[in-house]
Amino acid sequence: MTDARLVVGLVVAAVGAVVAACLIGSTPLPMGRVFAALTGAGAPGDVIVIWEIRLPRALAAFTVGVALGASGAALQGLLRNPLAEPGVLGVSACAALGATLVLFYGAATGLTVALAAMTGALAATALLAIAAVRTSSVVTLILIGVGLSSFAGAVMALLLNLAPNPFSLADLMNWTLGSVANRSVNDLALAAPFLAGGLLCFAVAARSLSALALGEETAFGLGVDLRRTRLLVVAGAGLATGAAVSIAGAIGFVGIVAPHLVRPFVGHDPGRTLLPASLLGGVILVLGDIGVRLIPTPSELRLGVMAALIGAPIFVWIAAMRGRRS
Amino acid sequence: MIPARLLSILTIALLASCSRIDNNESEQTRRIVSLDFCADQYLLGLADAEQIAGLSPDAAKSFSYYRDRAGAFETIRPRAEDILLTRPDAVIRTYGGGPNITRFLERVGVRVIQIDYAVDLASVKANAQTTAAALGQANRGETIAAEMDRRLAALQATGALGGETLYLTSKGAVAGRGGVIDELIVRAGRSNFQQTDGWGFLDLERLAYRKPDVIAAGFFDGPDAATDKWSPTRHPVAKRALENARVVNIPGAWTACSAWFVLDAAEAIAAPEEEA
Repeated sequence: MTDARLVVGLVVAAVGAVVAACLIGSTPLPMGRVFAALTGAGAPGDVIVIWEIRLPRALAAFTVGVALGASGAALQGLLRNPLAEPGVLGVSACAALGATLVLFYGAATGLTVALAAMTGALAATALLAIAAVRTSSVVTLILIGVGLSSFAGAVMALLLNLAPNPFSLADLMNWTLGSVANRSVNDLALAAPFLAGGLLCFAVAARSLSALALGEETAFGLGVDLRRTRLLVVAGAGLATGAAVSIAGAIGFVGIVAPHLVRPFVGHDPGRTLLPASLLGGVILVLGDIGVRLIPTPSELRLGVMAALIGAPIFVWIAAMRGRRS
Repeated sequence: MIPARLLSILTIALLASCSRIDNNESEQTRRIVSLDFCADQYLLGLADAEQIAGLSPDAAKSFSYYRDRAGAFETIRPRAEDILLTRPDAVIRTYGGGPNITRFLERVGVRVIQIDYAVDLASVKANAQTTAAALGQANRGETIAAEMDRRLAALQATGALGGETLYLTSKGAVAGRGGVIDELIVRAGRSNFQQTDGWGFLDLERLAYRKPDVIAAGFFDGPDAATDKWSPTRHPVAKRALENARVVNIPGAWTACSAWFVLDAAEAIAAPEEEA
């Protein structure tokens, strides 16, 4: 399959998933009313439901998936390790920690939460990039990520412990669970510039990531500026993951599953993995969000919980396959 | 070797056990410690100041109805060690101290006054009466019960006001049929907009088609009320509903504990617009 066919197929899947997400909600809306509302010709209530509630929610899930899929693919390319992704490496957890710190100290506004999430993500990716320079051991790098994730989790547990009142506990806790429920275009608009910046960094670094797959020395010989590539990926992953976390909290494993699934179709080329992995990440999260709404639980399942329930076994499977190959 | 601190706790426990008074409910219980902010309200509202040996750390916070009275008293963490060191004759609690605290305290001779969860206004009144009696303040309980009856009668005399009313908290929780809030709305002469049973979360899609006339906005007064990233009340659809309906602010302190002062909320919901 050519890259173009893969991308077109994923775009069609993404549009289909978003439209399917618009069909699901607490108000039973037949397909005809949904399409009428989508074209702006429906009843006023239907138009509000589709354009202000269901579509922004679906787009939020897609956007978060795109950000995490792209970040996972880029980090895997940079670190040459298919197990690297924002959740496993603690980037998402550090982003969520940044947001909760702002919340805990009473400085939370839409913008400060987004900026704090991105600062947390950037700090984590920078630390990982420094570690990646100093060690060639993939295991060490993953363990550093696990350590970062545990540390962020511990500080968040401390904040929960010291929560100023019983009513703020759920607010803090939700950052670790991940959800796109009740997201509006305002949330998307706030995160969009940061996400765009992150994706731009990845796009600029794509060719270098492809060369890096041949090894650092070969890449250097091909004229790749390693320092610049590292900086672009770190900045991109920080911005994109931070933007994703500012919309939905910490959602793990999308960044590992999406690149893993598309890699065979792009000849295991990290640069060519970026776009399809991001699209597939978006599709996975939109479908996941449809799932959490369809599963009949007393209160809606969190998207991050669903992603972890599906993604964690896949992570273990990928790790086991790698172990068997080596 | 038994650590000195453990020894002192055991000694205090033994002393507490020996000095336990078999309280006749008409007698005043001395040295009472409250374990949570709901129990604080009963202690501050029903007991004499000299009966209060300690309040929970939340007693003076914004969601505590009698926070202005709480400053005069010591606060105690609801841990067995801290409680026993105050040598209480009784503790009063709704949930404070965790599920095992009652068994532990009773084993060492400290009486536990457990306040039941109120499911309707009748149980709100009964809680006030039984708790007051347990504190040796039965008359005060009867006075509060009579005052509740008077206030409810006054609300009933106003008659049906109409207007669908949605009780909505800043976190997006809504009160459906059944329970204290539903009864407050009905006693205020209005009808409950939320027709599902019990507590739930705000359904934004329903707001797209149908709007409440009155929104009883609960817990919008807290310091973190406006910042909950996950609440549906941040959504533009909910914000428009809040802008278009008549909003009656219900401070969290009024309803958080379902004690007798929940009637403040009913009166606010029933009040004409200029008074609310």
